[in-house]
Amino acid sequence: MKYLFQIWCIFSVAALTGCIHELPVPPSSVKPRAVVYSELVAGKKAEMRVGKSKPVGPDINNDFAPVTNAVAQLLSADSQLLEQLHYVKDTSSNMAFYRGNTRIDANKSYIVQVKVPDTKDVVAKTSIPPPIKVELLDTLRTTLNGRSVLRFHFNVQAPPANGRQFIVMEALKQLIQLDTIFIYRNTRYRVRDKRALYEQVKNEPGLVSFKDTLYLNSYLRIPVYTQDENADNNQVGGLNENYNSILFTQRVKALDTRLYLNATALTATTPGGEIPIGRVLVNVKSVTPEYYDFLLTYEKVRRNPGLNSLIQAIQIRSNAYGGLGVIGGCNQVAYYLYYDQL
Amino acid sequence: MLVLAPAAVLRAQSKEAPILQQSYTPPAREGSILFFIQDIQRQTGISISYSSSFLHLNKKVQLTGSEHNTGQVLNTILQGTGIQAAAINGKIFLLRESSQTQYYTISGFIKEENSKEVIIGASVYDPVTRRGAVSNAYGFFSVQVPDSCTSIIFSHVGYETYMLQLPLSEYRQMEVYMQPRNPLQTVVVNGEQDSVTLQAGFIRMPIGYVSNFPALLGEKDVLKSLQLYPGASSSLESSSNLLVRGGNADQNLYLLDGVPLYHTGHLFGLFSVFNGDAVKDVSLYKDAFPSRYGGRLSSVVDIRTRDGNMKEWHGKATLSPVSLSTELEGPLVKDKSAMFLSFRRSLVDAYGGQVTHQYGKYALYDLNFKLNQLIDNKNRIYLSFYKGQDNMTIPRDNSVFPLLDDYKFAWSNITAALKWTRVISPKVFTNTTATYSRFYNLFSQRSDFGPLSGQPAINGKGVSRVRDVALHNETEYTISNIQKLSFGGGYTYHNFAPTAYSSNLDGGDAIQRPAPKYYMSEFSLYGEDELRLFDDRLTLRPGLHFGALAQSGSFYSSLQPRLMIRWDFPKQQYVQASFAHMTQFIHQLTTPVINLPTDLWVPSTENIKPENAFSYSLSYQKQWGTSWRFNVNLYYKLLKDIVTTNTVLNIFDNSDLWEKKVISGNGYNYGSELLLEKNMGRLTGIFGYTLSWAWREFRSFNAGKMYPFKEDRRHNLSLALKYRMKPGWSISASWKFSSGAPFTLPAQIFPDYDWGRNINGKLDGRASPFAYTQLNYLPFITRLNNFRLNPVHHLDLGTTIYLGSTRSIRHTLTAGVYNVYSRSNPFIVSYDQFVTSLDSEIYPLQLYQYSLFRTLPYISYTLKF
Repeated sequence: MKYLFQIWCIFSVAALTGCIHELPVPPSSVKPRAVVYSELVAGKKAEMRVGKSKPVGPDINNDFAPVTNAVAQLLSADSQLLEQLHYVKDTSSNMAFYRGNTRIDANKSYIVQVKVPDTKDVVAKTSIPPPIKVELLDTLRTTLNGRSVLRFHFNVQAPPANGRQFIVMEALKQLIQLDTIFIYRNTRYRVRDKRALYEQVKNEPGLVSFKDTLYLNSYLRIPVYTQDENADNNQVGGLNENYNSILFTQRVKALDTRLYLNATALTATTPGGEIPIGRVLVNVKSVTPEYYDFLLTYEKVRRNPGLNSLIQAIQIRSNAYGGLGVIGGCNQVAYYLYYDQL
Repeated sequence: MLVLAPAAVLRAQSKEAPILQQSYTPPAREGSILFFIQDIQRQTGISISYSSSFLHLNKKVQLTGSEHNTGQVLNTILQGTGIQAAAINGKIFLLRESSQTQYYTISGFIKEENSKEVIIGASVYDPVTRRGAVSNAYGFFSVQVPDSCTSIIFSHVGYETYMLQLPLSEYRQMEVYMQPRNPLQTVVVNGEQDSVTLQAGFIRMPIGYVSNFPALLGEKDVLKSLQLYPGASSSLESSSNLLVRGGNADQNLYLLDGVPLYHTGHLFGLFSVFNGDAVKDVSLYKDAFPSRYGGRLSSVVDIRTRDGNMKEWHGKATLSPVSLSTELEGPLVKDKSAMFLSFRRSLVDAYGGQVTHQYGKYALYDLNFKLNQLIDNKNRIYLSFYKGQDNMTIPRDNSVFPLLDDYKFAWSNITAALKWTRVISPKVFTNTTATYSRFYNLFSQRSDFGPLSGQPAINGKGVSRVRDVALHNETEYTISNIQKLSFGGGYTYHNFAPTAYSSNLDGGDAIQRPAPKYYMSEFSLYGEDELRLFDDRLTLRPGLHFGALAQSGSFYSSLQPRLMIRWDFPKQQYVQASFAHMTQFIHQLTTPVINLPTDLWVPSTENIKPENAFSYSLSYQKQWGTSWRFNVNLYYKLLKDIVTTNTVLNIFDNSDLWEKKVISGNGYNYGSELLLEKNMGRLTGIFGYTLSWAWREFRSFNAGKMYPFKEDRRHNLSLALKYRMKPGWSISASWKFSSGAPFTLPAQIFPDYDWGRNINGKLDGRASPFAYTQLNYLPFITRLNNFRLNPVHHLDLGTTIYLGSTRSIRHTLTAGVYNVYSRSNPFIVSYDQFVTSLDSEIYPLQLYQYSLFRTLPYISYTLKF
């Protein structure tokens, strides 16, 4: 909290609070659009998130219902249906999760087609980038502007001749559920589900119990930093700021760069603390240009949504024709780090 | 051809004159010229003017007998004398034919009777031919009059018209003194002056406007007064941010005694830095820019401060609940040198520690000082100085919004100018000016703890600075009454340090980036020729301005043609067309709408090209006597390579590289303006209306399509009236209206990318410097600035009462009410709230309008000696 602009805005708003009133939002005649987020990762099964937008008008809120009755299809580049993805129940997200069994291949093109009732069909074509060669030269605990960070020194090999490579680096913390499994009278139970029974029988001889780690489909983003002036984050803000991801447009040369993770996020604090238990994922991705454009504008919006009259609004790029969102091809190298005691 | 022009005027007028065809029967066939002239006057009652110096009045003449009207008789009796009769304004003038006329140059300085302060913009003209000139910024004039001319007139805003009888005993450099009108009387605009030189896109604002009309908190504000004129508006209610014809605030060249100013706002632009009490002359050029000006795209605001009284010491003090303003002027050596000193300061911080502790501390002041020294009747030196300072402290434990750190901001402007004016000859006047201008913004933060526990407290300090040193020369050469040359040039050394931040934090792995600094040389040369042709009906002013910016790694130059053409019609009407190419080498990376001291001035570089404007205008003006003025303007302005940023720059971070965030594109501004002004009488006032469009086009915005500029306002209206109830008591009212500002309202919202993929929030340090919360949705924006906010309008009332005087002290009371009908005008509008505490909260989305001022009274007391 150290920026004049912010202070000024807050002071203005605070000073003007007495003079605030709601304005009617004009009714909208536009129809909702289907929203599709799909990152097709080479070597992984196809996945999509499907939701629906809300036209801005009177009486709306920021609650979104997942679209569970969509037809989400993966097609080959020549429009042959490869697979219809199936809905996987996930109540933790405001978008419905669809998964398939087709593994995505590098250097191949795919078409994603999503039909959501009462909205236009969404179509997008994307090509999966070739594999990238990433070398992790070293890691180091250090500080960055007084902040404790973990430094990754990466070397990303140059793209093929005359080509460009769009590199994205990010870090996530995947949450973990720690549990104990016990087998009682040949039946397997989780302590979480049968705590009373467990308390009752835990001291009985012959009771088999062991610890189990469950990786949840729940993540937290770890802020990342760069000091590299070649990073396109330069177009978004300062290099001492934190970002969702660090973005590079790589041409001709190998990319030798250092990625910084906020180290306070690596290790869980005491139970119930701010930093939950989990494992750390560091992804170095090569993505399609449309996906890269989306991520770059997304960084801008996250830094400054531009929803007030003082700030220039940012338009997010999209390649989801007929709808909203992004369908991006990706080839990635992932690093898993375990700092928390499991 | 130029020399013959005066004769052509007379011939043209003679043909149309009925008094030269008035029936007249001569009493005799023979007599002296004087006999016939006197008889015509006696019989017809027509006044005949002549000069005995070139007319042999006793010469005997004989009529042919066929003369039956005045013109025929006069033609006969004047035959062979080289003199002809001309009917002008209901009189007959006996004038020499042009081939025999001799011209004299009369030049000198026009000064105020009491104070001997020079008068800018006074008209000097021959009442017969109406040819003349206007005194320049140093009060100098140079006119050529025929030997037949019997008098010349001096007139000016707020001064009694003065007539000088000719011929003079000797034609040397003169000093003409004009008597000020009653200072309590409404200031008037001189119509004669307009008819001689002024053009529609140029406004010389009567300085009385600054104090005549009601103002927010009673603070006299020069730039807000200019906003009464069409084509000049502000971005927000009561902001002193001046926007001219759809241009940005940084596209105005602000000159204070010839020194460019880079930041003109106090208190985030609510008040301008120009102290109304210190100002003598305010000129605004919206188009047809004279060639001497360059460096900005939209306008030139040329402000001159007072020189000081050369005769007597005088002073003034004004006290209001929010500010104190004082001034002192007088001779250091009588009739040789004078000084002027003014000081104003805000008083908000004087209300005690309670307020300061609760809200923070804010104080501003302005200091103007000017010294002028007469060396001899041809040489004069001026030394002027200005300093304006804002100080703001926000304690962390303020009650409005508690913070983690203490913040301090201090920004200041300093300008200094040393001018030397010299009359080289009666026809040549030159001034040479050395200037210094500095804008300095110091900001600091202090917290009690570091980013990690056990680390020392953060102490950070930053500076944003602009520094200019310049030397300029301007020369005017009045070749004749119909031709004037202006030429000159200058050199400016710029030193820009947009941001330089340092703190006691251990950077660790962070690369220590030196703050960017730019050292540049800017050169300018100009030449301009003002010509009056076809009996003064056609005025042509072609000109050329050359500008260049050189710095390590880049060099830009620009040749900027200017042209003004005017055709005068009878009955004080004219049509004028103009073209101007302007180039701006420096850019302001600004926060939209508000005027923050953190707005950064940056130069054109290897990657960022200079901005260019091509302005076209067409105008018509009509005057009725000296009271009423009406004009209508059409304008079109093409802006090329204008720069903007798609983000807000962080001045607390040297690594926020501005050059990476700048994009360039085009702009298209067009519209029409209408002005009706009444300048004399008990009721005076101004009505202005502007119908305008302003578009911007950037490749990476709005899918490359044009969109309305944030300062686009379809309609702007202003009406300001002042009525003098009786001497010493006046009431005034002003009403301003402006269409709603454009605003980008999302067409739809949709789930956030991260949230949609179960990346549900943030870990430590995720907060963006410019967004308090991480929303769980993204806006889908189809078009930028697709929505209009509510219009802004307010009615203000005011009165000025002269309370009388005790001994030599005069007392005046000024009071009024701002926003009488308590209109809630939009100041900030936000879709969704600024601050929500929980990321996952489900809440209704709404438009919120934050307003600034409701009904606000003001009062101030002035004493003057």
